[in-house]
Amino acid sequence: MKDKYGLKGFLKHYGFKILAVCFWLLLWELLSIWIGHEILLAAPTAVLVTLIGLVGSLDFWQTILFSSLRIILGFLLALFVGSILAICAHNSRPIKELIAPLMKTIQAMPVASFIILALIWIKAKNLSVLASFLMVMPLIYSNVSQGLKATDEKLLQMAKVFQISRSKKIIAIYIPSVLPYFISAVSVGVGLCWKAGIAAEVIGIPTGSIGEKLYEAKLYLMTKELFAWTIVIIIISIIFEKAVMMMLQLFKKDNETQKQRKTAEE
Amino acid sequence: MDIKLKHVSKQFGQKIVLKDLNAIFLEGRVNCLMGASGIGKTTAVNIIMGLMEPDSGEVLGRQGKQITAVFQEDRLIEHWNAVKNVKLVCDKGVSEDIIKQELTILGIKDSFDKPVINFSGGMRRRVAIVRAMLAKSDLIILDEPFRGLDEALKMQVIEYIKQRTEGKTVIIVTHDKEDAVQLNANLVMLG
Repeated sequence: MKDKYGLKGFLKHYGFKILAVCFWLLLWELLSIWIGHEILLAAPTAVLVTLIGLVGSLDFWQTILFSSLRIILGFLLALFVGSILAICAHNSRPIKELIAPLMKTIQAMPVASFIILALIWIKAKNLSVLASFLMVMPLIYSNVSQGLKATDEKLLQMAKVFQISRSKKIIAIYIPSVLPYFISAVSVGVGLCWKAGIAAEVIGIPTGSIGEKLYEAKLYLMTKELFAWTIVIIIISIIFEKAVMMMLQLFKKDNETQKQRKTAEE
Repeated sequence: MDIKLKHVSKQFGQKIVLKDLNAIFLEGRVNCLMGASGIGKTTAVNIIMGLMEPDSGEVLGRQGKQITAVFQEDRLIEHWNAVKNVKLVCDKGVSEDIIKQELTILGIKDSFDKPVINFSGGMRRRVAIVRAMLAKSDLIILDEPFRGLDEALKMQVIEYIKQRTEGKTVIIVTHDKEDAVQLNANLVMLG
């Protein structure tokens, strides 16, 4: 156990990963030297310097906050609306039939199409909320629906015979059935919302957004900035994904504890 | 009030499972529902529990009764331990200590914290029996409660059921006439 935290253990655990990253960075550096034009391919060292320069400015953090808040809001709305719609559809056939074409359309529609359409209806600064929402919501809806459908019918019959209360039924039977499907949808959706959100900002170019920075970088051929902002997006997306998955794992554990407490209380 | 099945028929597709069944289950007694395999005993109790509707006929005396049951497949919450499974269906007055005591009587001890998914078939059966006995009930339905139990355990469970169901209406599905004798039961034959 101690070895895992020692230098030997660390190298054993992360050695290949570090080597792989170094390999690709080296290849990137060599390619940029070979191409010889920073506009076509900026060197990783130059990108790192640009990134450090960006991090030092207040504008950088404000930009991140602007985009993150909106994309996360869209994501959270998608979790809520997708779950509620799935529950309604599960309990009512007409609602299910009514929602089905809408979900199919949203899923099949290219992100760019609905972003351009949405530009006509809403302010550019809120585009990323909508894009993030529309990307994640059908996913949540479909997975939660599957989880509800997969609920053990025999356990529901048992609950009916014993006249178990609705809240106990939700805790004991529905949540354990839906949770794995929900977690799976969230883990996919969390990456998608950033892609869709930033794409929306690049098209809508709201002032003070990451999308605007990317657009400017492209417009003025600032390749170093383009790379630097892309790295920033990847880092934020990873941090967000880890945070969300960590919260879900906590919820999973908390759900177990709550179940224990609930049954103890009742 | 006795539970009465009057002219109850049920078929699944082309297969007729129950045809014009008439039966009386006496109130306050242990009633053993017997008959050959596949004759429709489980279908009959499912109809009594309200899990199935008969194609024709009616069930009398069931209205307003609080039912508890042991199902053929136990139907426990797999990732929960035995105490939690029992607690789920019990009133507030039934404490964990009482549940543990009852489980101990049927030989489930030192395993209170283990999820029931790790239990043997016989242990799960006993948890399901304790669950049915501790939940508030006017009518207790036990579908093959002795399945998977060895002879000694079976006798222990029969004794436990006799003690816990005194004065209550009980319907037990079984193949074994000896069970009915041990339980001093009213016999209801199918087929």
